[in-house]
Amino acid sequence: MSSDTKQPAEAKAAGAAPSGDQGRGRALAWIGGGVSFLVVVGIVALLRPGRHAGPAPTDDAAGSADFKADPVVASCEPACSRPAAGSRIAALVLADEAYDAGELSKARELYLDLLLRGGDLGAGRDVEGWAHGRLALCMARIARGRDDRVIGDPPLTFAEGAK
Amino acid sequence: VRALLLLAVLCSAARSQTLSIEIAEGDLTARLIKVAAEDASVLDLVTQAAARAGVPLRVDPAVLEDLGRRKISVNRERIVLDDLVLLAGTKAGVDVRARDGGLIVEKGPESRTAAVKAALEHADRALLGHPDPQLAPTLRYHRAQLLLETGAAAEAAAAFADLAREFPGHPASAEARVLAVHAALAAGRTTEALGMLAALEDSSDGIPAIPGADLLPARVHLAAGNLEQALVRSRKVAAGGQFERDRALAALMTAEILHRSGDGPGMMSALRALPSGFVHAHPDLAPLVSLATGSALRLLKDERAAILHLRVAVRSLDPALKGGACFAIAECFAALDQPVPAWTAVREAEALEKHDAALRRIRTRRSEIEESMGALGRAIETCLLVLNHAPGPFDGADRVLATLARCLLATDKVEDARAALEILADHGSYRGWALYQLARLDRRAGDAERALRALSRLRPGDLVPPGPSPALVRTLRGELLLDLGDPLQAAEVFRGAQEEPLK
Repeated sequence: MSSDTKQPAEAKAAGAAPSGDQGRGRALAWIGGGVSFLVVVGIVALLRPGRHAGPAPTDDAAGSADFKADPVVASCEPACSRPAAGSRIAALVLADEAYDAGELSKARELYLDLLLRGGDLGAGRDVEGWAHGRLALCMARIARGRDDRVIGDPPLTFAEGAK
Repeated sequence: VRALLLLAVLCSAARSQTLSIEIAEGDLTARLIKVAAEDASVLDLVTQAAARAGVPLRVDPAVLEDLGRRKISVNRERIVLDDLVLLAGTKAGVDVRARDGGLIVEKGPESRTAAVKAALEHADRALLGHPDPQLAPTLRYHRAQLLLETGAAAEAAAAFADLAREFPGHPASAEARVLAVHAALAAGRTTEALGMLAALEDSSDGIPAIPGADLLPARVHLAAGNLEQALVRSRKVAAGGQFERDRALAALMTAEILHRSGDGPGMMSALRALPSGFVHAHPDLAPLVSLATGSALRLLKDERAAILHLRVAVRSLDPALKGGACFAIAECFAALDQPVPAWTAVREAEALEKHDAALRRIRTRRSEIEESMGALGRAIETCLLVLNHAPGPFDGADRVLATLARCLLATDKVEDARAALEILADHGSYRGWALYQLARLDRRAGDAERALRALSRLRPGDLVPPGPSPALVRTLRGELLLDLGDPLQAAEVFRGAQEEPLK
């Protein structure tokens, strides 16, 4: 019985299974391959231009009171698991600061860059809506210029035909 | 080896990221253009977008070369075509619009009007695409302002009214309510403006402290023809408006309303109420004060003093008002029985006036002044000029025809005069005068029966100026009956005529 019971194990050891060194080598190769794969994926994720932005804006990143007060973006933040980030949010903060400081041309360029180059900020269309809205406000305020008298003067003609 | 291959594939995928462009009008969503992190030419981007979306592209040759040089980085996964062209155009400083079923690339906005239009398009896109709830009220406020500036006043009124209704607590809302009235007034929707004004005045907030807002009630009532209400409101603002300029403007508005009522003394009293130093604070209003004073003095029949003020006004008035001021000077000279300087002034008015209706009125008066100078040929030419340049029936046409007919009669051009009189005899305030003149012409031609028929067309309403008096008509009828050999009936008519004083 014992020979019968040993037979399959020996057969496996003699005919199919590699030696102990070979097994360890193969296992190490697979582990190495896996690590390489993860490294490559990581590098690609970092190189990818349209990658998702990083974590939710922190106190130092979110410079605009308006933006922080935005209920839609705030409610979105916990759900957004963004891997790396900061730069796009920082750009948005810079744009908001320029807008709040009345530097409308600068703010316009920054919002434009954001929308063309970093529209997908992880928070999705909410942030895009903010940037697009602020861009439109910049355009409107630049186009209209400083106009203290929103309501123009009444038409005064003292004309004959008006009698 | 496997890892290297995988790395190569993934790097390639990362570098050649595609931009998916959505067409708003259709369901087509195609992965269209390979736009990676590196810069691409704006011209290439727009051309590819148009080609793949299947829409025609028209590029202004003036911007073609510049557009080919300008680079742009679009680093997104997807974008709506309209957004892409709007953003790319703004970034490149050109005007790229989806219009008339195609993409049109033109020079960037250079004038203020073009910049306002471009801004309006951005506002529309921002509100249409993905409006941010926090920005939406402010954005809608600015959009309505832009609409007002582009001349879409009715649309602006609706936009302001909607904003005020949907965001009652927003700071922009208070202004939006009063601006809705202003926009409705600008759109000529007076009834609508009156309703909005009533709601605004009934509300607890009242009229907000915006420059010009205090004047709106008077302006709306004036536009609606409620002169009394307009006068009450403008006097109230002149006495205690929130802004100094509005108080001065209200005093001028009061003068304008009184001018329409022909109240010269009232005008002078309104103008005297203007604060003494306001001309220094608002020098742009000084010409209007001169114009108002000149107009008031005209009503007071002090033409010489009026001419002095009006001449001062003409020097510095807004060009749109200069023609009217010169015309007023001409009227002053005409009233002083000085046709030559009146004619000179009216010619100046004619040169300055741009509006067709006002120009017709000035030329009509010019023909009358020429007639009074005895320059009948010139008066006929002026009348024909007015009639030939009119696009159709116009107010005052009968006055021109009457002048023409008078001048033709005076120069013995009987047939032409008859033609003008026949037109006048059909309708209008000169009907009675024309029928009387036709009867006289027929009598001169020896056709008494025809003359009597002309007189029989007269109605009681025709026998008031400028028509003939009843006595004149009776006298002519009696003479015609005598011509026809009916002395008994003629005597009867003359007896009636003697009972009325001849005019």
